[in-house]
Amino acid sequence: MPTVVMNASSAHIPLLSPYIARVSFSTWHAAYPMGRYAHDELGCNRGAVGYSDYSPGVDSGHAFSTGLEEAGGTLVADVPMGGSGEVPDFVPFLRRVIDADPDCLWVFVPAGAHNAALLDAYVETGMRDRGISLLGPGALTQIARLEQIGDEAVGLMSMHHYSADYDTPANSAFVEAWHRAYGSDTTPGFMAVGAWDGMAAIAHAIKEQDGNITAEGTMAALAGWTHESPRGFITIDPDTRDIIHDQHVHEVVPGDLRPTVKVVHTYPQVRDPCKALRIGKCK
Amino acid sequence: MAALSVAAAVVAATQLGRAKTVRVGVAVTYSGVGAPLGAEVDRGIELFIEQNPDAFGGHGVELVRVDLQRTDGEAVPAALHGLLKSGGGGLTSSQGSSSPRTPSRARHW
Repeated sequence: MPTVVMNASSAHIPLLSPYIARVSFSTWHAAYPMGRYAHDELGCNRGAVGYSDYSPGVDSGHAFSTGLEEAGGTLVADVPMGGSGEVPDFVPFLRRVIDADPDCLWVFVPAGAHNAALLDAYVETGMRDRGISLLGPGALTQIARLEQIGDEAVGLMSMHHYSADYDTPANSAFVEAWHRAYGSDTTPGFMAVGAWDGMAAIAHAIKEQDGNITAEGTMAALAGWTHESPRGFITIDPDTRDIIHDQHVHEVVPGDLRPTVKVVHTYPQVRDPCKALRIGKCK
Repeated sequence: MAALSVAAAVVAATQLGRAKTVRVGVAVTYSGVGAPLGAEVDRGIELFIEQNPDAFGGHGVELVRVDLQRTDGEAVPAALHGLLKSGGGGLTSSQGSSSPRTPSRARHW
């Protein structure tokens, strides 16, 4: 059965079967370059990672620390922060991070309730006042969350492939259609874009095979497939069946009605570094 | 888990003229802590179909939903495959009453 992964993000997933293609992302897409960027551009010499203790969380922490250390930084804390099911109290975990006195903290927790609780704990523990930058994937700076926490979010940084604030024709059309369909009080995040692009991939596979779907035919149709997504141009890497897409460094800046996401740097058309470097399960 | 969502396409069961209906399995979290994520995925899928009716080469799709929170320990690929092959009735235990989108067989496009 041909499978299109729309959101699971552990790096090795497309390697599990020759009939899996992924349109979402690998944790390494964001975390590995952000480790390097944090050291080289943000002055993070002493880095920390905190993550939910499940496959993509562990994967993401490993990816960030690999990038950080390759760039010359030092990992001073590696803190698993509970599981991905129940939302834990993040405050004790963040206090352990604070005790290690890092310059920055990379986090990876499930989008949604975990992410919201983590941001609350970041504010509560006063990490920012101590000069510890909070970095993470796109969930950290999702617009829906920025609307809720307001100016407390200013200064957060993320590395990811999507924000609803991207000012491009494709994204503007997507966000407008979303608002018309679901109301202007909801904003699409990367989960929505992964699903949109997943259906675009499936539509392409159906069209190419004229409705006669096989696993081989679907993968052949998707190998090298390029599509203009709301996030920008995406391609399915014919070698790994994983996605190739831009990675953007996001900074939350003050806005008129709510804080907004500003793109401060772009890494164009990134292939999954885990597979490019053949690290861990990506060998 | 909460971060997982997949979609899988299999051959259609129905054919009208040359246009086929391709059944597409959608496995996401429709209940539990990940329910809002599943809802966002659903919206993204449905919006693409609504906005791009010509992208499917004249064929239709039928969405068959599986709640990853409620597969009763059955492996997701097996659950999804069974549901798709059976035409939507194979996994009643996955169609939780707590899910906002309980029907495993959705509308046709």
